[in-house]
Amino acid sequence: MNNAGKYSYNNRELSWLDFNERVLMQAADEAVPICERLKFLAIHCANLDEFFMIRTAGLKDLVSAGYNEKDTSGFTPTEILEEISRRVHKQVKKNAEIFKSLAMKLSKLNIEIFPAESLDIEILDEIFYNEISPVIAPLMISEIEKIPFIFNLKICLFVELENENKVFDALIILPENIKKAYKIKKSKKSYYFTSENIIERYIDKIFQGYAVKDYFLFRVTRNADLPIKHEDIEDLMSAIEENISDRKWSNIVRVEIDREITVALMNKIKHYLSINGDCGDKDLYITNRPLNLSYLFNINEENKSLYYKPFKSSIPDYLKNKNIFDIAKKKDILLFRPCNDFKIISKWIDEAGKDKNVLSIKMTLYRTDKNSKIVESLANAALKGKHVCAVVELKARFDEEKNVKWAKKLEEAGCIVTYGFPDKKIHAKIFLVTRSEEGRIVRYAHISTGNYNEYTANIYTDIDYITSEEKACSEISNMFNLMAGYSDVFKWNRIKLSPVNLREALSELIDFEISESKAGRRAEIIIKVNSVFDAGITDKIYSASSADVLVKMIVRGICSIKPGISGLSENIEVKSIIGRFLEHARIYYFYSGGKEKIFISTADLMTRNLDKRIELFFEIKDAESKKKLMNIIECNINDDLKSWHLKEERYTFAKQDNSKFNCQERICSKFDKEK
Amino acid sequence: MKANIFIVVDIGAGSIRCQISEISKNSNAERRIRILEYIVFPLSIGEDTFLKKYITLDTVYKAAEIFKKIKLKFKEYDINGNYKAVCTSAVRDADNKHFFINHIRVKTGIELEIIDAEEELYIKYLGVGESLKGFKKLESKGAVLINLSSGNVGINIRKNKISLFSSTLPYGALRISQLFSDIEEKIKYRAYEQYINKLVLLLKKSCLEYDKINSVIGSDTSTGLLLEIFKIQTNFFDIVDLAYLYSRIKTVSASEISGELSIGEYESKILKPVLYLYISIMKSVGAKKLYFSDQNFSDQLTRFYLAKTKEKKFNKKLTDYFFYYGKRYNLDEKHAKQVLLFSEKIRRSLKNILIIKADEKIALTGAAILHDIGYYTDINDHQEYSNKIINSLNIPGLDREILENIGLCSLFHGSGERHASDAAYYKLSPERELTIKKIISILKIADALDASHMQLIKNITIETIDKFVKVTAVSSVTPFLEIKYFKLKSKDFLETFGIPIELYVKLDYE
Repeated sequence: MNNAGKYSYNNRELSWLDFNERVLMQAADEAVPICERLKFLAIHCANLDEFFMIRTAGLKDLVSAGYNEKDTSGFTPTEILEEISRRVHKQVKKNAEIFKSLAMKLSKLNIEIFPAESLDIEILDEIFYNEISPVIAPLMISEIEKIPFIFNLKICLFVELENENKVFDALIILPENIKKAYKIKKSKKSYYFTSENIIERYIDKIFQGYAVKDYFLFRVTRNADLPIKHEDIEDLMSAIEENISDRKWSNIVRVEIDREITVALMNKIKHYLSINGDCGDKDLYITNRPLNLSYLFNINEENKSLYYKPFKSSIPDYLKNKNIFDIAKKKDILLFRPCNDFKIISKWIDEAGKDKNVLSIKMTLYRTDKNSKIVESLANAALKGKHVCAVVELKARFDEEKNVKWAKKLEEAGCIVTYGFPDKKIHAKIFLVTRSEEGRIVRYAHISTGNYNEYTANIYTDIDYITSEEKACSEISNMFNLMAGYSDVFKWNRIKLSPVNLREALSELIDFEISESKAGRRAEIIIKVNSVFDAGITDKIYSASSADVLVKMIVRGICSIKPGISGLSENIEVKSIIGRFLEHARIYYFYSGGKEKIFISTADLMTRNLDKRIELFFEIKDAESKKKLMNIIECNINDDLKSWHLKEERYTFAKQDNSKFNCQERICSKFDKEK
Repeated sequence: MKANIFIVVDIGAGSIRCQISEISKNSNAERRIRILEYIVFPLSIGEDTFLKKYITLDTVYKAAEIFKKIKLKFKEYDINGNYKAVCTSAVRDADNKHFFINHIRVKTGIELEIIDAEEELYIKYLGVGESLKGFKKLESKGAVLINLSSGNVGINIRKNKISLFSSTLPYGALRISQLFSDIEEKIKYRAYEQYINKLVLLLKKSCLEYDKINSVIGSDTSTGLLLEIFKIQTNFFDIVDLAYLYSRIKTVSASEISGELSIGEYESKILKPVLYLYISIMKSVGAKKLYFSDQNFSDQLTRFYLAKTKEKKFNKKLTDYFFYYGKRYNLDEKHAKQVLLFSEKIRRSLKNILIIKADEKIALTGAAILHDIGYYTDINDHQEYSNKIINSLNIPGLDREILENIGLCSLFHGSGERHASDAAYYKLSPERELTIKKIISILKIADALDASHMQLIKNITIETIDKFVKVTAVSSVTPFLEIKYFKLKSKDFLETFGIPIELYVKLDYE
């Protein structure tokens, strides 16, 4: 038995909350420009919304189903929910403190992100009467004794009114199409009003004839109705199916109120929302700041010092005004987002659609942006008579509706659109072009760790890799055949993919390091992923550590591994980098007896990635590209400005007074200089 | 330049396989085949055929769905009809094969062809010959080539580059498994063994030189399955390993085999007959190793249809085959050689008039050698029997239609009542009728020039003079029979080629 005892894994939910706290701490970091700090606050807030809709809701389902077994981290669902509530309350308080502090600082700079109530600005009248008043519908709810269904995350204003000594309760649900925020310039000052903030100011006008006794804003978070993927509980689904037949779908899992309110008012809202059972007092959060901070993304000031230095993605000299096919035929191309311009890829896709030698284009589409140029290019290619095949993943969480729309658009253009598997998400990002060149078929593959999304390409770090290597392209072609439902009988040698052989391949790679170490030779593993949460892989990495293999991990988010435990994980180092860009590239390195095998992938080390998704794990063999990837890994390891170190279950910020290495800046600088 | 893409679709018993290949030529103008895609669509047509004798409608529909996907591949590579879709025993042996083929044609526009068992076996033989290291040595010392598929087993016994025996027999692994599907699992293997033992007995009886064989070579999905289980790096399986595996699994159910060996349901069902068949044939010839080629049938088909794989000096080998089979039926070898010599002289000398195609040349060679083998059965009606015997032969690599043509030519080669024009009776296509007439016309002249079977005419020269063909025969004595039969048989020549042919005998004195 190791020193960690029976439960040697970090809890998934708590680990995720730790990650979100690290995001929050970016908002507190004085080194980050102030308007960027506001964005981190908003991200923290949005992350929590999703967390409650999915993870907390899932745990509540378990409790409702009567499932209360301990998980691999030693917590029962009830215990975890308690701990989540405790930690989130703490984070919400911290978030409010930072918000206030930033609001004060900005006020000194003549920017009001939370304008005082007493403010008198005439134009607000126009906004209220012309834009807001016509679209809101106040409801007197005390007379009907119940309130209408309040949709997930809709902001509501609860108002207590009085007329002739009689108390009335009223409700305003802010409609979907209402503008989030208004920016008003007056006397060289910028004022940012949320719509709810304006409504509050005109509350007397809305309820004329009544005296407004009290009011507050609130919103509810509901179960997103997505079944929880709790990897460590095998019989979870059957537990839910058996015990939750009377489940109230979409029930409330969190209530946020924007200010401290009286006990009487609290009881009222609890009564109206029927808060009991699934949602209790511990699920009530007083935010003491605007409920939805997404308007902070719209803070737009001319003072450039309030933001990160403008970032311009670059195109390496060797690709400028060049045909990608010509270059890729001679050598593999490795690009790093966002340092390298994603337009290199999107433009190439567009050119492929127009290229007379191109026979076919195949692509996976997971999350793409609104009005995606890539989707446009594919549709145009099909209209030009190219054979275009798009494997669309409709199940990309919260993007389902959007995905259906552009899938239809592609079909109408004549693309062959397939939707993968009902039980497996297609997460691999691949693009394959088949060309006829001087009587010979040549295929080009683009393999990426990131989505084909022009927007996120500017804020996520990712690897793009283009190759014409025959074996790789041939097996990627088979991957498309697999995803298009042609067959599942293929031989995979050059590539590894989940759920077919990735778990096995990782195991073999780690086992080899273990055997090398046991033989007294150098053994080293470096893994850079977003999340680690899988018992098998965690145990395997523990085994490697126990065999004295040096394991370095850069894990942005959830991490089930508890590093630094004597006899179990003392040779494992885990760090998390939270910086300007969202760390998203997955890179795996194995010393492999000096061969230094290095892979890029879309797969995290989560059970869902290894068993429930189609993921690609691709070895980079080209020497020059390997060198570039090693550089990226080294920069990640050397970072001391944006890194957090994990010891068992506790993260500590690595930054010291003499810290100076920011990996994202260093990598971008290297790629920017690339000829 | 547009890439040259060729697609082969192989409709087998357990799956439909599609291989997309690119064909290019290197600097020596040799064809180079590059496999672009190989897709296996699992579909158990064989289970229907071998159990019910027909392909169920459900399977027909499933196959049509698969072919729709294959059609997309045709479009993707813009192949413009450059494909072959071939059916083997699972479709060939189904009573409703024509319905199946028609349904696929109507639904997808894809034309399926059925290849006969001999051709299938020959293609596999060529494939193994090309891809198995040391094949030539094994073949020359004596080897049995086993093409064990789901429906049939193709047996090709070879020694000194000659096929001693070639036949396709209904002993396919799935067929055997279906045949005894009602027997209790624990004792089922005994039924398999009895059935397979009968096959070995048949082989021993049918092939006179069976005792001279010492190697066994396997091919097709059965060895692919063994490879999946044994995961070996060599090109042979050891009989000890095969026997050990068989002893482990022979009483175990298919589902248990599947679980234990991590193989599919279909594979676990056929494993017992596969193992026992190989083991028993290996034991019967005293072989310790089962050699195999890892080239799949789709690849073999591609190479075959693109004529990359050509049996070296195939035509020469065919002549050997014709003599080999002729000898079995007490062929008059001297006469056969003489007729072959004369027919070749006529063909070469008159090539601008006769215009004999490659297939016709093979038929002419075959007919020149085999036309009289009916004497073995009945001297009075030997033409009839020659035709029957020829049609019963299995000559590896020889198209069945060519063999039938040889038979027909033998049937009509006499000077009696039958004439070349009677070939119309057989309702042949006009092209084929012409082929038959051309061959018969030459054969009759050549045969007449050795009518006595005594090789009196030693040599001939042929010239086209004015409006007739002059054959000058050199003989030491006056060849009365030859002169008489030449007159009788030359009518066909005139009718077919529109030019009279006349014989001049030049006596050659010492």
